[in-house]
Amino acid sequence: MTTIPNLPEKNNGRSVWRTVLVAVVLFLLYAFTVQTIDISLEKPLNPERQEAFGRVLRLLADPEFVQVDAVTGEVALSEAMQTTLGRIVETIFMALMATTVGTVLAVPVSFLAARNLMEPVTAPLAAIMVALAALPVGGWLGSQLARLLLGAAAQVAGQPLLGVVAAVAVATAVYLLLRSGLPDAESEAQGDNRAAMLRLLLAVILLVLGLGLVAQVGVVAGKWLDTTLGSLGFLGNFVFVLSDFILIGLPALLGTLGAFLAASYGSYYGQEAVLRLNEGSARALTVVATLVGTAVLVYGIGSALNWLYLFDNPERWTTIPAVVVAIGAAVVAGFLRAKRPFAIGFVIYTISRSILNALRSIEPLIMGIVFVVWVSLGPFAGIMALTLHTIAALGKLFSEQIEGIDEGPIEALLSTGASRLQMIVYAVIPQIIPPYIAFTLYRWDINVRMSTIIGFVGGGGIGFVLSQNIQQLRYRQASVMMIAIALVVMLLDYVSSRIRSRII
Amino acid sequence: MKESELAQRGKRWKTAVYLLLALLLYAYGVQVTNVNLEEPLEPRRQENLVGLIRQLARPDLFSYENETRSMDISLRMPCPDEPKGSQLGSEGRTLLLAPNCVNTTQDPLRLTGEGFPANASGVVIWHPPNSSSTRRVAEFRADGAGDFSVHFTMPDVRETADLQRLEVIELLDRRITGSSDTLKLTLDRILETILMAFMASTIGTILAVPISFLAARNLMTDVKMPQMSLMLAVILAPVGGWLGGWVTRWLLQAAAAAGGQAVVGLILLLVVMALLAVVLRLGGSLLEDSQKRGQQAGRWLLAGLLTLLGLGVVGNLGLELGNWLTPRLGLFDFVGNFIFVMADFLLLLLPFFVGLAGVAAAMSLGSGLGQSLMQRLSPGAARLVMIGLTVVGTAVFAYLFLYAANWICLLGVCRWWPDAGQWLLLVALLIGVVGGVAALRLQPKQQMAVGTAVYIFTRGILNGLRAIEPVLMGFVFVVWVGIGPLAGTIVLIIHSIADLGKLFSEQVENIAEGPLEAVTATGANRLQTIAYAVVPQIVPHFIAFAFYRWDINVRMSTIIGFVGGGGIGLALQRATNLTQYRQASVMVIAIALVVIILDYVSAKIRSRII
Repeated sequence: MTTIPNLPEKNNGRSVWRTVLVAVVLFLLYAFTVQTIDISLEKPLNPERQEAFGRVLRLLADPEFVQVDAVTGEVALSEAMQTTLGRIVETIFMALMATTVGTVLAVPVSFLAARNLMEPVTAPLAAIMVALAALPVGGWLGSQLARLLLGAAAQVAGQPLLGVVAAVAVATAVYLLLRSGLPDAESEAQGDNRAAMLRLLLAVILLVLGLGLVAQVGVVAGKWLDTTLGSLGFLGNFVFVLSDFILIGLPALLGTLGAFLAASYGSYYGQEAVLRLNEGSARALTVVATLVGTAVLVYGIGSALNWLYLFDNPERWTTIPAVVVAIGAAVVAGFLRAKRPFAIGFVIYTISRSILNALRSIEPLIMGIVFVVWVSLGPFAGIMALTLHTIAALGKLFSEQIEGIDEGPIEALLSTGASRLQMIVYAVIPQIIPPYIAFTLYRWDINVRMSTIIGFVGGGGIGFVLSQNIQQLRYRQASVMMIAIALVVMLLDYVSSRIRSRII
Repeated sequence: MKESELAQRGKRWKTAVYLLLALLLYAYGVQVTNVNLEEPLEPRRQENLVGLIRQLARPDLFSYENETRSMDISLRMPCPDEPKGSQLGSEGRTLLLAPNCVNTTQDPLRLTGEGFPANASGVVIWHPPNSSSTRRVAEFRADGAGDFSVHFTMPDVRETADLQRLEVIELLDRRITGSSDTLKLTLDRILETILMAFMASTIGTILAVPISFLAARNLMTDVKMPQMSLMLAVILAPVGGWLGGWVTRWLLQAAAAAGGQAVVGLILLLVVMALLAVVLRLGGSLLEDSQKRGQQAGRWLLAGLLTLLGLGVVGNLGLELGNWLTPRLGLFDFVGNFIFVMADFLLLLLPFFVGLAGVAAAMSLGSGLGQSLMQRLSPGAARLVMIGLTVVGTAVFAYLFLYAANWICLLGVCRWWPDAGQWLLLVALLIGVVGGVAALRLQPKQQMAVGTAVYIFTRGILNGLRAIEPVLMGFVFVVWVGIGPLAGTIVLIIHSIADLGKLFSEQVENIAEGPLEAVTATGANRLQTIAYAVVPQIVPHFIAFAFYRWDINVRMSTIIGFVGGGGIGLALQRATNLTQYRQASVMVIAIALVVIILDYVSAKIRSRII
């Protein structure tokens, strides 16, 4: 017989005490839980309740698939069945749209939320501040430009034929411009590069104009197709909706692009200036840039808060703090070493991660309430809620994938002198595509499940009719829908797991 | 060269077709889901959204006490011949009501004020004559110079001879006096939500473990037995279950009779425990193989009966103790309630679990009996017995299934065949005969893959349950146990079992085969293999998954209330239905905080475990 060596007496006693303490705490915890969530056998064993439960179960076991006409005796698909088929298609498409749009938007977000990509991003304070100051200017310019071009496009495309001709002409011009050469980072000749930059700018302007023309024509053509194509009318509707989106989204898109460009150029020139100047003048530049940048930032935050809370004295929240904080920050900046790099990337990483975490923690069902108020009852509200949640959830999963990639290719590319963008394109993206696809499919599964219940708050899909049926105690009809949901979810689960196992 | 060009061209065509299909798919999707920009861009809708967001931005966290100043101004109904305005001044503030009378409920009134503090705000309250209730008829907010002017009407006003009183209340100061009712409700409900998830995860995990073994392919495919054993197991299973349930119920009744008196119950409990000790001690260990098998079985049975009786007494004593403790423990009264509920559960579930144990015992007995029968009988006789057993076994199985189907009225059976209940036995026998005929082709020694059948069945049920969102299941359970956290907890338990059952079984399937073979090679039986080779490998993963499930359960329990399942969802839905978005905001913030914190905690714990 073997004996287990005895542990030292004192230690043994302490661990016993600890176990007892944990046991008592757990006992109290469970006891309190039972009290709080009202676990008791009274209600479940109440005969009336049991009878009601049995009645519902019997109705659910007898789904109303078919309807027998009382007079003719003809058997036909029941109304519930027809509704179910229509709504389940709607549900699946809701999940499809939300997954597609959500994935597309989650990809750029995930780069911002990846620690290993963002942490090395540093810049001197002056560069950051110049970027901050340039940001709104670029955004405003971009959106103004887009609006101007769209206005011109609308005038031309008042005549659809003229619009088509103009669109073709613009497309040719863009093609010619792009063929004649793009700016090249490696080219030595500054003048050449500048001309190429101008050409690129012109091409972008023409491209926006062309898009505006196409969209204007598309709105007209879509409406026309919708009525003439018959059963394929949905194509016309698609063209119309897409054109509409372009017309409305283009100023915002160009504004964002402008803001981004302005910020990156501001940061670039700020950095160059600081690194070239001697310490004294660099410090002076930093102080001035900080003054302007902080003022812009605080003013922006203040006006956003004022929009939200409608303060009695708006200037107390916008102008005054902007001036005060800017002066304070400038004074502090005067004491800093001008060339010291700031971990701006880490700040962006923290902010984007926090936003993603907060959004992820709120169930789509709750988000749905907000969107129903905005776009009214229907599948569109559900799509918006699901898309927002998808961006948050996938953004986090994607960024974790980026954090887990192999460092080797990144180092290899960086050692060749590649820029950050080139590094992402050639070292990061090839590594993350398979897991991204797998996660997208996984999210698609979740979205299908969620879209079956988002209707409970009015978000469209089968949940909407299902909740109505249950509220009217039409359990036989509800049963049809529940079975349809179970079948669809199981089927799509199976398909997506098949695809996933093929990809990874 | 040419071939590769062709292949390239084919590839291009394929891509084009895929693109076209995707275009059609999305085009149809846009149509079906009614995506458009008209509704979101409609000014009225945008206004709604902005209003909602502004309300959400001001969560109703605190309760306020208002310091006010009021001035009375009078109104006539109906108007005298020459309507005039009334003016009133006090402490530098001037109020002018013009006209100071109305003839109809639509007549416009205008109240102007001067000399108020900048941005002062307030309300105008009407005190209807002969009524204690009041009504708010207007709100005002002064501009930067302290002036304001509001237009309003007097709905529901009636003609009186006297003057009617309008009270102009100016809000002077607001002081925070404490947390708002919403905040208190939210804290209360969020605690309920967390505890719902906690309870559901605990019970769900415990129940998912045995099920996950049934749904693990690598454990189940090895389980095989000859037809005779299988059929005997099927025949004996209901007998064992019934016997177990019946004996337990009988013993519980005896225990209840004795346990009514606390003192008698305690004495009985002591006696039972003493007897149990005697039985267990007498003649060596129960686990050791002994020559006297009959005697061993008798001692097992006796010990089991005594344990049941003891548990029955404990349950009854627990009911008494819980009831006695609850009013006496004050702040800790939940301990008394817990003891009562647990005792109640014990008494109720004991017959069920013993019945289950009876089923298992009878099945293992039947399968062993089948084995030994097959070895003793000659091949011809064995085949005959096998066919006979198949007829009976299939009939028993069919009868049980048909009985259940008839009770639940599956697919409306009871509607188109109202007296199906009388024919059940006949139909079952018919099915049994069919089964017997089918068994003609079987060899008695042929091993039936029972394990695989159980595996497929279990997996199917788990997948089906997992496919239905907890919120959908909630409806059914609300009908049964009423609106409240209990319904939500039950739903979450069921969904946790289904989800964890699948995850756990996948873990079991992924274990290393080495220890399994090693333990099996020593001649260990199936239970010993699981205990010594499987369990040690899977415990960390199971704990990690249980925490992961807790995460999900917290999220789910925040929305299960939307169908009446308790927790914060119920309160949130009520608030949004009444468009009290400031209250809803508090709850949404609470949900976000709790989910984020628990996410973080469970991720930390999980990374520590694995």
